[in-house]
Amino acid sequence: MSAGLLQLERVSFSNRERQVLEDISLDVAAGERFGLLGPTGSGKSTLVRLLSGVLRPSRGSIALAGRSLREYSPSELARRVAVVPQETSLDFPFSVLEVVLMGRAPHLGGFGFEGDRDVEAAERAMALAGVADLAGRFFHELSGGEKQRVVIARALAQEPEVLLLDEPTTFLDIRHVVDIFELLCSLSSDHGLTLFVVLHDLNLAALYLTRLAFLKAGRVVALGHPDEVLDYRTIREVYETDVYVHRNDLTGKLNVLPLGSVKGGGAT
Amino acid sequence: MSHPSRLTRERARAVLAGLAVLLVASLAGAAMVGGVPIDFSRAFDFAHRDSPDFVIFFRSRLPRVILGAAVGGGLAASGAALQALLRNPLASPDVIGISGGASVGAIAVLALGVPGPAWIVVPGAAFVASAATLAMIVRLSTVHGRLNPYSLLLVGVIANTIAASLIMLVSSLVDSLRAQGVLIWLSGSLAQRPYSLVAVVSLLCLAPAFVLWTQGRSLNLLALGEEAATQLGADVARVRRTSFLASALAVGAAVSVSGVIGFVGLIVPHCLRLALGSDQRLLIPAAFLGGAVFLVWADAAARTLFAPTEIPVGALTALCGGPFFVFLLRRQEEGREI
Repeated sequence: MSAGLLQLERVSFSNRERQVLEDISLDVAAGERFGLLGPTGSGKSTLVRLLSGVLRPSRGSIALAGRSLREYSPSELARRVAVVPQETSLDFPFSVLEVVLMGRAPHLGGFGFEGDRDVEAAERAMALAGVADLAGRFFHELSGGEKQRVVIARALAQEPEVLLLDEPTTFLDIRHVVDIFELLCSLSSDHGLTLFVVLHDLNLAALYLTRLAFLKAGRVVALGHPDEVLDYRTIREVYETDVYVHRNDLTGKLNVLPLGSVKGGGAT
Repeated sequence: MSHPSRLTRERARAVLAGLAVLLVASLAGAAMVGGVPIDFSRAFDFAHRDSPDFVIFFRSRLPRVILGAAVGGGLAASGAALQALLRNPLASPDVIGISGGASVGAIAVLALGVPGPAWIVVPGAAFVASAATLAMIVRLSTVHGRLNPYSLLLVGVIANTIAASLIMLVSSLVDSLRAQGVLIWLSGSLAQRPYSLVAVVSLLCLAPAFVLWTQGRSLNLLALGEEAATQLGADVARVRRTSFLASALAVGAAVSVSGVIGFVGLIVPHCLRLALGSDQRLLIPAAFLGGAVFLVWADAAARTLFAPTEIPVGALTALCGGPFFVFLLRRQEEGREI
C-alpha cells in the first residue's frame, strides 16, 4: 500500500492518570472501510478524538493526505474529516434541517448564513441518509435510529473525505444497525468515502469492513483483513474470552460466537 | 409550537426589523406614561423647553426608558448566550449569581467612596466583579472537565447568598447616609440617571450584545457539546472566552446602573426561543430588542401601577420571573422539552 490518506506514526497519548495509547502506527488508504476493535477502555475512543483534532498526540504524529494534523485549522480539518458519535443529544430544540446544516459550518465564514449551495449539500446529504422527509421535524422528537441517520446526514453535509464513527449503532436495534451499515458501505463504494469505524460487534466488522485492527491496553495487537485477524486465538488474547469462529455459508464472511463456559477452543 | 425548519437571512432581517419598530414605539409610548399625565403637543413643543411637559418627557422619562431598554437588552442577550454556553436553559445572569457578584463590586465602590468619576468606576468595578464571579462559577460547577447543570444552579444560589451577605456587611459598616444610597441602588431602579450615564451604559450593553451576536453560529454548534462543536470546526476555547467576557461586560454595565433586575435574562430568551427557534444568529439580537421592550414596559408598569408611589422594577420582574423559573424547572425535571 502506498502512502495512505490517514497515517499514524508511533502515536502515543497519555492523560493525567495513565498512558492511554502507546506506539500506534496505522496507515488507512482512501476508500478503505477500516475497523478499530478492542475491549472497553482499550483506547478506541481516544484514537477517534486524536484523529478528529479534539486531542493531540503526546508523542508521534498523525497525517491526513500527507500533512500533519497540527497544520490544519479546526474548520479546515472539519471540511475533510467528519465524526459520528455513539449518541447525540441537543440541549435546545433545533429542526432536523438545522442540525444537518450545522455540518456546513466549516464551509461558512464567521458570521454567515447558509447559501443555496449549502442548502443543496444538506438536502443531498439528507436524501443519501434517507431522512429527507424528516427535515421539518424537531431533532429531539426523533427515535434513536432516526437521530443517528440525521447525524450521519450532518456528517455527510460536511462533504468529508473521512468519516470517523465511534460505535455508531450501539443503541440501535438490528434493523437500524443493518440499515446504517448498508448506507455506510454504499457511500464508501459509490463516493469513495473512507470509513474509520470503532466497533464492539465482531460480526458486523466481519460483514462490512475491509480491514481491522485490534487494540488492547492502548496497543495494536493484530492488524489485517477480517479473515486473517478474526481468529479464536487472537480474540482470546484480546478479550480473554473463548469463541467459536466459523464461515457463514450465506455471506461467505466469518461469524464469531461466544462459547461461554463450554471449553474446547474453535476452528476457522 | 413550531417554527420554519431553518433560519434564512431574510427571515432574520424581517423579525429584527419588526422588533426594532416595536422597540421605538415602546420607547415613545412608555415615555408618555407615568405618575403625572403629560400632553403630547406640549412635550414636543421645542419653543417652550421649560414647560413641565417638556421637562418631564426629555429630562425625566426619556433617559429612563432608554436606560431601561439598554439594561433589558443587555441582560436578555447575555441570558441567551449564557444558556447556550452553559448548555442550560435555566441559566441567566441573576440565577447563576453573576448579577449578584457584579452588585458586590458596584456596592463596594459606592460604599467605600472610591475616588474617580462614578460613571467609570462603578461600571468598571461591576464588570470586574461579574467577570470574576462568572469565572469562579464555571470553575466550581465543572466536574471531570464537564459543566454540570445542577452544580451550576446550586453554585449560583450560593454565589447569590454570599453576595447578599457581603452587601449587608458593607452597608452595615458604612455610615447611614451611604447605606441609604446603597439601599436605594439595590432595589433596582432606572430613575434619575443623567444622559451621560445613559449613553455610557447603553454603549456597554449594546457593544457586548453585538459581540455575542457574532458568535451566534458557534454558539449553535455548542448545543451539540464541546467536542462535536470542535469537530465541526469551532474554536471552542475562543468562543467561550469571547462570549463569557462579553456577557460579563453587559451584565456589569446593567447592574452598575440599575441594581439587580432579575429574570429578564431568563424569561425573554425562553419565550423568543419558543416563537423563533433556537438559532442564536437570530435569538441573540432578538433577545436584545425583546429584552429592551420588556424592561421598558415593566418599568412603565412599576411607575404607574401604584401611582403616585413607584415600586422598584426589579421587584416586579422578580415577582413575575420567580414563578416562571419554577415552572421551567418542573418541566425540565419531568423530562419535557423546554
